[in-house]
Amino acid sequence: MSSIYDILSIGKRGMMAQQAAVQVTAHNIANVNTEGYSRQEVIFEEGIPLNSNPGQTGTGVNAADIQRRYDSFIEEQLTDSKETLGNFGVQVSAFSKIEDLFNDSMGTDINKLLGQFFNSMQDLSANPAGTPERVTVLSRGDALTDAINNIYSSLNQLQKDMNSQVSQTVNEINSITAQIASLNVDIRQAEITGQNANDSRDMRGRILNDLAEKIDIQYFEDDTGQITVIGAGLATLVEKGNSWTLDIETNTDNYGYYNIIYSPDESNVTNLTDRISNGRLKGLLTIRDTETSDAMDELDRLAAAIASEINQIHRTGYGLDGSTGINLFTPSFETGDVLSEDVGAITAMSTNTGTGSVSATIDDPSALTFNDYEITFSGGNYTFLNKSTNASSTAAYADPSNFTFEGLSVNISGSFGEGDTYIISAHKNTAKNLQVAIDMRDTARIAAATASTDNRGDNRNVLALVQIQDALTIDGTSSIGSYYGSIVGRIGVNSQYINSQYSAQEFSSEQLHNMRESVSGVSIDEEMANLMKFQHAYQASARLITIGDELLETLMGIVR
Amino acid sequence: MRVSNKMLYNSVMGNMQRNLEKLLDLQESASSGKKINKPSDDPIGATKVINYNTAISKAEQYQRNIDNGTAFLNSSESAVTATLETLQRAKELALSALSETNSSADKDVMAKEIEQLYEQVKQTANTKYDNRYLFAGFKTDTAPYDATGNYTGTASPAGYIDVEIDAGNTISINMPGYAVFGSATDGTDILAALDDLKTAMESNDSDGIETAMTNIDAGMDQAIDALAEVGARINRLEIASNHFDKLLMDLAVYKSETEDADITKVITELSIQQNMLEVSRATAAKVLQQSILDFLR
Repeated sequence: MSSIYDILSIGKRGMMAQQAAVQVTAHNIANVNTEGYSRQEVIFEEGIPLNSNPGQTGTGVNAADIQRRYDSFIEEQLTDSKETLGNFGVQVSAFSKIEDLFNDSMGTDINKLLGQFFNSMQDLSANPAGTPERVTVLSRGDALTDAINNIYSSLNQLQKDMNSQVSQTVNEINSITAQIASLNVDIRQAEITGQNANDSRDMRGRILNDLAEKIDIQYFEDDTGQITVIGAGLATLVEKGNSWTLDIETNTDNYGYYNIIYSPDESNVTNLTDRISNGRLKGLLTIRDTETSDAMDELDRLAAAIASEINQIHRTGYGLDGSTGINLFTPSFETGDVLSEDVGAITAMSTNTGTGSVSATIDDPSALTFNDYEITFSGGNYTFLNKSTNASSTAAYADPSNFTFEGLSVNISGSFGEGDTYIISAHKNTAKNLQVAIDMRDTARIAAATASTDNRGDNRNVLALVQIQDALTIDGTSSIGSYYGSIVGRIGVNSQYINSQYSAQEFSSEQLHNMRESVSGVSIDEEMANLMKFQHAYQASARLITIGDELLETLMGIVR
Repeated sequence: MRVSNKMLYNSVMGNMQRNLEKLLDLQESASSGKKINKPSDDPIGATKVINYNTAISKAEQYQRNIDNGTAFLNSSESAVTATLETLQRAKELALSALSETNSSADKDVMAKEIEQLYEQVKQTANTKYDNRYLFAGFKTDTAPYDATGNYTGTASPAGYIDVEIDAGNTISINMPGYAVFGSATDGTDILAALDDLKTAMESNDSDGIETAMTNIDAGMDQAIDALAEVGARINRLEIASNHFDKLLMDLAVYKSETEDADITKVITELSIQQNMLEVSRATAAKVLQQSILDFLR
């Protein structure tokens, strides 16, 4: 047997359910432009029916749940694509700066200045005693060394910028992981009582993408709705309500640049620097430790080849004033020159345990290769290795020892620990320090001649200097000019690769965004249609209450 | 597929952004006239352009060296030619001095003229070009023949000033005095021969005049050899100069083919791109405006 009160109750519940739906629709409309928002939907359910005569009668509607529309598979792909975008995005902007430095069309490039320097020596060969020609050689040399110094210091500046961004990014990561941990707690508390923490989950998804943009992560959700985030393949950054920070540490073996350290407890310290495989941090580290440092090393080799080759010939010649043995450039790369730790030509690894000392001098300038060498001590022996060609020599260590290798004379003395390592690179920082060694007032000291007297017309030494431009002085395969060309070519190829990877990733990320939007995005048209639907249902439910009221009044009328 | 408002916005913005990027690239090409504006536009092409620039800069320098060398050699050539004319006159005087019709007084007059010719040759041998003594070898700051006619320039076999006229390829731009005018130790000393002639004429020594005449003949042969060598070098420079004229033109073409944009193509693409951008703007204006709200009241 149904009752009129049931009709009033159905009307009331209908109104409440439709009102909830209108509220959710309003929330959707308001968040149409919110990044990472997933549209929500009210799930309606029939009320539990009552057994009666003539049969079960319905009890109206319940608003059972508010759910968000979302596809976890697409979300994961989006997170992945954020990592790659972060990585390549940093590199694209850094490469555009590096390319600007080496840009041939700007007219201040090293290639042009090299050409002008050698041309000024050609002019000197045509008039070896001419003061204007001599002044021009020195000023062209100045222009060349200035350009090399400037490009080197700009690269160095870029490297430092990358380094400070590493520390900034680590701070951002730490703040994000703390937020994720606190959202984990919020979500668990809400969902343990049977609620759906839709908005907290959206927010967590959004900052998870922010995190992925900075470092490669993996994450999974446990049965309480909390996520565990693992960074760089092994570092647990968030677990339930806890988060662990990443730290930075100065690495003395890498010019004092930062390493990224993970230490969940004091006894457990991991260096993540080489393990980070994606995200902005990877991009920053790649530019800092590979791209800029490769370009700087190549500039050092170029500068060292210019200084060493030109000085070798210049020293054999004679100036107008009879002077000889003069260098045209510093550093001079002369026999007996000491490779100094101050300019980074010798570096002791910070992990060394011994107290011994390693020193090196130049033995034969013409045999110098300007490669990086490594000397390691192991089992009573020392090994001297050319890291580019892998040529090496091993001998038993007796204190003190001296040996020569590819133009270097190396002295080792004292006691060394097992595995102690030193890096020797004669060309280190040459691009930074390269200068013309002859003063503008001493043009007579330019050695154009091969004889000490009666040499005003003698240009034989400057003719020999001119030949250096085309001589295959670098690795026996490249001339100075073609080596510069190969630097520019390498940077161009790398930059082109990064740019095309970035645009491809940008495009696929846009597609993923659209797929996500297709599932989770708000459509105003749809919401407006829904709004009308719910409004009509609300109006109808309200009408039901009026009808119930009239029925009751009719009933009362009988009594009166 | 379900379409949300943001999808419309994203795709319109994404396409407009891509169109703008392409337009910027094309604009850069059109305004710089180059298709390679940074190494990554075409790494191989950029490296080639660097090599072409080096080759052009060197070819221009070799041209300079050639022009400079030609000027030097031309000065040497006219100096040697003048000397040959002087020697020819000396020989005529010697021949007429040997004939029976001339008295010793006539020979004294001839000796005076020979003295003048001697001075003339010495002056020519001490010619300067660009404020440098042409025939002094390396000692370009001192006159190669001193007051008594002794050669003081760089001694044989040195003293040739070489300049590069192609990679590793040199040419001498001067003749040391000993190879043209001779010296006490090298070749025929032309000044000494003239001096001998003068003395022989003054002392009316027919044998002496004859000996001196033979020496002057030898000296003329020596000067003619030098002239031939200078002429051959000038020829070589001319050929080299023509080679570089051609090479510079070729290099300019290669460089342009590598780095210059095909302007017609760029302009065409630019206008296509502009149209596309206008279309995407118009689409944006139409699509983004529309909403069901327009139809509800």
